[in-house]
Amino acid sequence: MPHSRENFVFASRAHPASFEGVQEAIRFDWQRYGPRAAMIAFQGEQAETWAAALADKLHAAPPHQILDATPAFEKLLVEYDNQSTYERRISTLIEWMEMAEFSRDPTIKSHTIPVCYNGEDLLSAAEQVGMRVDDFISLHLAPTYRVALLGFSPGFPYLSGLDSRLHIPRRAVPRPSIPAGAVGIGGNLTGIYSLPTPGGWNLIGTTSACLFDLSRCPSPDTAESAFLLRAGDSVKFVSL
Amino acid sequence: MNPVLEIISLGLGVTIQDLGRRGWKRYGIPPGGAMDRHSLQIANRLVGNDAAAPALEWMMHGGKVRLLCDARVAVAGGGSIASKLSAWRSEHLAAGTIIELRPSPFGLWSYLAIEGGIAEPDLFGSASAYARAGMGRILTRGDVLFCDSKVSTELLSDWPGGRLATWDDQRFFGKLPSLSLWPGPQSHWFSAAAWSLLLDCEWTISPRSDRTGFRLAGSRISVADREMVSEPVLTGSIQIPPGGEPIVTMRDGPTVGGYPKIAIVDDQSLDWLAQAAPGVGFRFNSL
Repeated sequence: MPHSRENFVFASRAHPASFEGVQEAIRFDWQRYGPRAAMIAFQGEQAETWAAALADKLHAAPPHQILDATPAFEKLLVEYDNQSTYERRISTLIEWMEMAEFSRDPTIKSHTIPVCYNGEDLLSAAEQVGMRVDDFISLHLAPTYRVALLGFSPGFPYLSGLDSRLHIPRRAVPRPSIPAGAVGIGGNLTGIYSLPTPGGWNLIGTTSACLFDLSRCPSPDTAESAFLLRAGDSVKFVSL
Repeated sequence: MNPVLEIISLGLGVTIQDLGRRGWKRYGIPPGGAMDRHSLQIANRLVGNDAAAPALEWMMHGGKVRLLCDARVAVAGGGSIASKLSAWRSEHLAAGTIIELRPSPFGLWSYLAIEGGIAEPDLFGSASAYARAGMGRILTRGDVLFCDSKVSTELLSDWPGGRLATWDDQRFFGKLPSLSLWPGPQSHWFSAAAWSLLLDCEWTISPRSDRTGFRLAGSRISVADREMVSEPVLTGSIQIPPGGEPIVTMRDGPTVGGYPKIAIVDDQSLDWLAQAAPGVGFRFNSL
């Protein structure tokens, strides 16, 4: 029965690893995902940070013939070339993770992003949560957000840390086209459209910050500079 | 760089594709690349290219190109039948030859490879077109493609009659083999009945399918309404949205998703699935 747990490889681990100089337990489960990948789920307060930090570490110096490592919230997807590499390597990776000395990647950045609160849905969003527009804006400006993942389209950040009073469900009918730079709220997340795409988030503002720009990476060595943000970065909005 | 091909007719759609991008998912860039990696690789090998060299990918019904130099050319895949060339076989053709890809009801994607490969600048490690993010050039009528001198080619002078793919490597897409599934990360959210339905039903591809995802028609699979946090998605995953219509994430599909994934199609089977023309039924089996 493929849906029984017998077909998964589950493991729960707890190990003290150093994080920002503080010894703390790293806890994770992992599960096979298809022939050549594993989904690793971290637990605890630092779960999102672990996922982003481990992804950085695997990308910076791939020690395990890894094809790709993708963090999203508290999870990390690790992919190998093929089934046989996966089967030879995965246990070594898990052992390595147990022993790993994690430290915050010095290249993780703090960003300040200017926002003009002029979104089409700003009034209705404030109304929906029973708040004055000014208060709504203040609550959106207050937190320091974390880039929980980049996805949906290249460079689109899912920012976690949104005040629970501002959680608004996605629009029932998505818009066919949303311009790049639109700042929106979708459920418990806020984010910024990185490309003109269809989308269902409630639009509350716009930013001139360019989240994805191919012209910023003229050579393969500078490809990463096409992106303003990276998973694990922090973002603070300022009002224009 | 030498001009090698001129696009005369685009058909329903033609793009330059190789084996896609690796290592950029964390920025939201999907792997992309040839929908049917097997056929791309065979077409390349038939002309002596590295299997991963960029080639033309034609969506069903084909199109038309003119050769601008004497060159070895091969077509592999499905959805069209080439003039001047047998499928799964390379030929040495003279400059000026017009190759027309005519519609075939079997398969969806055909690959035209030319010795030397197609020169196209790499973006994020691949020449593959990914129009949504402005990657790769959009081909139009009259465009001239160049040969890539960087692609290593074997000397094939001792093969004047061209090369034929082995019987095992040639594929016919009028009938698909049973496609193998692995359990997906949320497979335990589904009932035994839902899993049986997935395996017992004969599925077809809905016409509302593209390079990002194939929607499956045949039945609806029910899933408990549960809150799910978005997580990374692998190509080949079968997602079940609330409506129950399964969606298989294809090469250009999103890198993250918030629908439960009941299963994932094995890599080899995914190349077959990519060639499932609407109306061609197929079944899944559990690995």
